[in-house]
Amino acid sequence: MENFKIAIATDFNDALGGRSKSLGPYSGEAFYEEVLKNKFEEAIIAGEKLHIYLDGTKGYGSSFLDQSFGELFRKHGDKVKNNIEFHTRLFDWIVDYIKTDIWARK
Amino acid sequence: MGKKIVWFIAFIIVSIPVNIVCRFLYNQTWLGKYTFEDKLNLVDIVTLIISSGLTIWLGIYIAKKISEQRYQKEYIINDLKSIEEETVYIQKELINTPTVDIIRLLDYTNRLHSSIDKFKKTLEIFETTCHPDNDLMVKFRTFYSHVTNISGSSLNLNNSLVVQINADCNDLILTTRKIIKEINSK
Repeated sequence: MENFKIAIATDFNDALGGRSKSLGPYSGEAFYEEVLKNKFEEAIIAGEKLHIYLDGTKGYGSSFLDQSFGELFRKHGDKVKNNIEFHTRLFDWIVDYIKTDIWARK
Repeated sequence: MGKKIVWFIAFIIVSIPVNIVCRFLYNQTWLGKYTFEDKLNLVDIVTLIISSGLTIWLGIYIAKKISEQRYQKEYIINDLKSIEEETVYIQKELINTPTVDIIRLLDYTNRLHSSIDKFKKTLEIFETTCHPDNDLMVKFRTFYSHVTNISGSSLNLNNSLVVQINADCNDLILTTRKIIKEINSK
């Protein structure tokens, strides 16, 4: 049973923006502040995993990923690695990019 | 032209001793010493049939293997060529446009990744490995991280970024060529 989940395309938007919310809509910063941060903290308090569904969007920019998932990792550290589970059929390489290029280099 | 001359000289160098040996054998009349029996025995017939069968089977097997390998190579090389064409197209589009919308950039990177993924899956189907195929993904990631690192909703291609994107695209193109060379020489 997935009590905590985010389907990015439906819960946020299918056409994602860049890094900063002051420079354009549906940015990584906005996603982090409005959706990801709160859901993750709720899941941690409940002692459960946060399930993230990536399919349905037009794609993910590296700046969007860094400003959302990278920022979450900078704030919460290794807890993020253990408590987030990605689900995707189309964006396996994005999951790989988050885990090896964003979370590993911080 | 130089290669042709080398081949011609090599041909002369090889043909002279061969000619001398042939003359020697002819003078010794080796062929004249052999006599042919005009009766057939069962062992000869069986040997002839088996050796002919084996030769035909070996010929068919080798021809099949060679055509299979060629067919597989063509598929893999076509995938690599489509990666190169896709990269060249993106490179031209990005260099000739001062501002590119993020959705268009994501479309470019998704398409390029899809081509690379198709190539990797083709390698898996044919159970073929090639050394620098991981290189392709590394180069793609470098390109992806530069081209989609956008603050707002569009990418402004200033001079330094154009140089960077050009270098990333060229790296990708050269990597595909290296893999084509390796696949071709297998």
